[in-house]
Amino acid sequence: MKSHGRTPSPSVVGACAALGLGALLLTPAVPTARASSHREAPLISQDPEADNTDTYAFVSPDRPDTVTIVANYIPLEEPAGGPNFAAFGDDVLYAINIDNDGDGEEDIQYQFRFRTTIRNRESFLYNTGPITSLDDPNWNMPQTYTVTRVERGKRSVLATRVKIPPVNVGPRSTPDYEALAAAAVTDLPGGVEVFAGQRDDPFFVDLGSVFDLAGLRPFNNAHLLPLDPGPGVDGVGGFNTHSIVIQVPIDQLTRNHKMPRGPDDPAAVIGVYASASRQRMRVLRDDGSIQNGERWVQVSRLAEPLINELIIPLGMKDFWNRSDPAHDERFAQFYRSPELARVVNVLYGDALVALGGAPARTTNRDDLVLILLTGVPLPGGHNLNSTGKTKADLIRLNTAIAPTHPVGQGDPLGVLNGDLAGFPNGRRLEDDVTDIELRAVADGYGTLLNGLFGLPNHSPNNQIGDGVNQNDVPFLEHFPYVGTPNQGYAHEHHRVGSTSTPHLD
Amino acid sequence: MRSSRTRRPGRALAALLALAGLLPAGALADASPADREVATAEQRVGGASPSSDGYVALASAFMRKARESGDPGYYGRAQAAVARALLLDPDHYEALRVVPWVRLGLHDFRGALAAAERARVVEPDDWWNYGTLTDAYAELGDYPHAVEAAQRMVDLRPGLPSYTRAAYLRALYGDRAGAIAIAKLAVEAASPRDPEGRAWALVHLGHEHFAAGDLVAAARAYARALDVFPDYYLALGGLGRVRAAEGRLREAIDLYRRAVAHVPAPDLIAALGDVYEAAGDADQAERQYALVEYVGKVAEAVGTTYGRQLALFYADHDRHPEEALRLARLEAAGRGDIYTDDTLAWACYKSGRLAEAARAAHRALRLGTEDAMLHYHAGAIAAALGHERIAARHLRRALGLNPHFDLRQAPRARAALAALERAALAARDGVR
Repeated sequence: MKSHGRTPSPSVVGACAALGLGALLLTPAVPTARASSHREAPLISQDPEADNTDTYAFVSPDRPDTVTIVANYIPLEEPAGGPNFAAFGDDVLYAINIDNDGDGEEDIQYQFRFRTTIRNRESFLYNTGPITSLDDPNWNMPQTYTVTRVERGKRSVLATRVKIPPVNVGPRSTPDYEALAAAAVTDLPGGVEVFAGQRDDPFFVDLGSVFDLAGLRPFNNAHLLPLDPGPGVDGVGGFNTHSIVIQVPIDQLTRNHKMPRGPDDPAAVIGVYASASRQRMRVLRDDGSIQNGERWVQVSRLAEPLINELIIPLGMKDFWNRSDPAHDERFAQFYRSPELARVVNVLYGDALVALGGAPARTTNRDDLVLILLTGVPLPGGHNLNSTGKTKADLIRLNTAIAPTHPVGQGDPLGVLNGDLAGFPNGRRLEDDVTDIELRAVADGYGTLLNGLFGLPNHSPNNQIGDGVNQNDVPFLEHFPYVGTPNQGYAHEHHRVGSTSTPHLD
Repeated sequence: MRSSRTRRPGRALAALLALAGLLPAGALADASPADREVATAEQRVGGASPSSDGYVALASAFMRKARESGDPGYYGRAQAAVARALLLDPDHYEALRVVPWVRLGLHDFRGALAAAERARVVEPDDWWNYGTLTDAYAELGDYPHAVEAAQRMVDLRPGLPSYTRAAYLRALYGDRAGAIAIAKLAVEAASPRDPEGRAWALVHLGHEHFAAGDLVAAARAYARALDVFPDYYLALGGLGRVRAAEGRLREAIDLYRRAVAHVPAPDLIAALGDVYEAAGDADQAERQYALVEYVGKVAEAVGTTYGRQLALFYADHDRHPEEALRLARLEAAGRGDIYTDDTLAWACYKSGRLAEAARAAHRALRLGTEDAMLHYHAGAIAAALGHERIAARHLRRALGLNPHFDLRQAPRARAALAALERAALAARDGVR
C-alpha cells in the first residue's frame, strides 16, 4: 500500500464528483467497483457521551462528615467544540454505584438522567446572545436532570429538573462562567449536594509519550529507543470533561447507616464505581408496545484509574466494560501477571539494572491484586481500605480516615508517601495516579511500604514518572472542587510539565 | 459559525488539481476526518515493517471514506488493505472482522455472510460480528436470522450501530412508528465527533418520516443532517425529494443538482430528471435520463453494475424494458432482500411477464412492509392481471401510506386507482 501516494477519489465516480457533473460527459469514465445501493448502516462508532473517563472519591476536606464522588464522562472534550458542543446524553443512564458490604455488588446507586430542552426549534445555535443566568432565554438548549437514589431495589427520586450550567463558550457567550457554575450547585434533602456540567478534566498525564511505547520524557535516555530527556507534556491539559459530582453524608453510605467509629470499623470502607448504560429493546415488538427502556445495558464503567488502558487486554475491553465488578475475579490474572510490567522490563530493564535498580516482577503480583481489587489491610489487625476477599475493581475509600489537606494540596504520591487520605485509599483530584501506578508496577514502592509490608523498593524504579505532576487548572476549594472548564475562545493544550517527578521520602 | 460551510468548493478544486498531478495529495488543505484517517494509516503502513494492525486501520479508513464520499471505488482499496493484513497474519482477528464489512460494500453478500460467521466463531461476544451478520442476512433476504443477529447486537452493545439496524428491521416488518422511535435513539446515540455518522442517522430518520408521509418531520431531519454535515449528498437528495413532493420544484432542482455534484449516483440523477419533467422542462429531463444511461453503460463496460438503481430507472421510465429485466435478474442472483424482489417484480411487469412479476411482488411484501412503492408496484401488477379488487386495495394502501411517495409514480397510482374505481362503478351499474 506504500504506492498509495494520493488519497483523492480512486474511481471515476469520485473524480466526477470532484470535477462537477458536466465533466462526466466529457470523461471516458471507468468506475472500478459496484456502487453502494445497499443500506450501509454505521459500524464504527464512538460513544463519548457514554464513556467514563475518571472517577474520584474522597472525604470532603471542608465537610469531613461527607464523601465527595466525582464521575467524569466524555473524554478529551475540545473547548472550542462549536457548533455541536458536548453534552450529557439524554438517552444514557449515568450512575454512581456504592458497595458498602464488600461483595462487589452495588448496594446504593445514584442515577442521573438528563433532558435537553430546545427553546427555539428553528435555530441550531447553542446560544443567541450572552448567557447570564441558568434561565437565560439566549441559551437555546439548556439541560436539566433527575437524581434518583436506589438502595437495595428501593427507588427514591431526590430531585427533578436540576439545572446544569452551559458549556464555557467564551467571553461573549458566557461572560461570568464561575457564577453560572456556582448557580448550578444544588442542595438536595438530607445534606446532599450535587453538580453536573462541564469542568476542566482534572486528570493529568503525558498521554502523548506514555502511549508511545511507554515513553517517560524525563527518562527518555533510559528507554530502549532513547530520545533526549525533556519535561513531561500534559496530554489532557486544556481539555474539558463532563462531571457529575455528588457529596453525601457518610452515614447515608455505610452499610449500617452510621458514622464509622474509626478506620478499623468494618463499615468504614466503601467501594465506588461509576457507569454509563444505554437502552436495549426487542428488535421486533410482539405486542405493539414500545418496549424501550425495559432494560439497561452497561456500556462503560470506571473505578481505579488506567485499568482499562493498562491492565485489560484490547480484545476484552468491551466485555470488561459491560461486566459487573463483582465478577472481576476473571480479570485477576491480568493484574497478577501484568503486561505493563513486562513492557517496563523490555523498555527500561537494562537501564534500571545499570543504575542499581532491578527488573519488575512480572508474575505472582498479588500486591497489585491487593491494591487494585481487594484493598489493603494494615499490619496489626488495622485497616487501610480492605473489603475482604471478593475481587472487584472499585475505588475503596476508608471514610473514617480524615482528610489531611485542603483540596488540591495533598501529597501527590498519597499512601506511598504516608498520606493515608490519598490514593489508593480513595482517589483525590491531586493524586498523581500515573506515577503511583508506574512505581507500584515497577517495584519502586518507597521506604514506607517497604518497611510496612516488605514490598520491593528498588531504586531508581521508585523515581519513575511521566513528568506531569499536577493539573494545569487549579481545583476549587469548595464543592464541586473540579476546576473551571477551559473556554472555547482561549485555551492552551499540551502545557509543559516538569523534568522531575514527585519525590518519594 | 461553521468553517465547514465554505469547505467543499475548495476541496473539490484541490481534488481536481491532485488528480491532475498538480498538487500532492497531502496538500488537500481542509481534509475531512476520513481523509485524515487515511493519511495517518498510510503513514503507518508506509514504514519499513508495516503491520497487520496498520493495514486494518487503512482498510477501516477507506471504508469510512467510501461512506463519506459515496464513492464505491474505495471498497476495492479497503479490500486490498485487509488482504495485506491477512497475508501478514492469517489469524489476525481485527482483520477477520473487517472482511465481511468490506464484502458488504462490494455487494458480495454471500461472501460477507461466510466471513462474518468465521469472525463470530472466533469472538462470539463481539457485537461487531452481529452487525455484519445482520446486514448480510438482510441483503440475502433471510430476515429471521437478521432479526436474531440484530437482537444479539443490541443486547451486547446498545448504541448507534445496533439502533440503526433495529430501526431498519422494524420498518421492514411493518412497524413504522417503532422504527421512528429507535431511529431517534440512534440520532441521540451518534457521537457529535462523528458528523457523518450523525448525519447518516438523521437522514434515515428523515426517510422513515417520509415513508410515513410526514413531509415536515422528514424535512426537519434532513435539514439537521445538513447542519451537522454540510453538503451531505444523502441529505440533499432527501430534502430534494421532500421539496418536490411539496411542489417546490425550483428548490428541489437546486438540491438535487448539489447532491449530484457531490455524488453522481444514478438514482439522484434520475430523480433530478423527474423534477425537471414535472417542471415542464422535457429537454433537461431527457439530458438527466441520458446521463443515467451513460453512467450505466460505462459501469457495464468494466463488468460492474449499478444493478438495482438502473433496473428501477429503466422500468420507471419505460426505457429498455429488457435491459431492466436483465439487470434485475442479475441483481436477484446475488441477493434476496425484498427491495430486490420488488425491482424484479417491476421489471417483469414492464416487460410483460406478469406471472413472474406477481410472484416477485408477493415475495416483496412477505414481511408486511408498509412501503408505498411496494404496494404501488403490487397494485399495478394485480391490475394488469385483472385482479381489480386486490389492485385497488394495494393502490389505496400506497396512497394512504404516503400520497407523495414518488413524484413520477404517485400520480400514476392515483390515475390507476381512479380508473379501477370507475370500472367497478360501471360494472355495478351494468349489473343493475
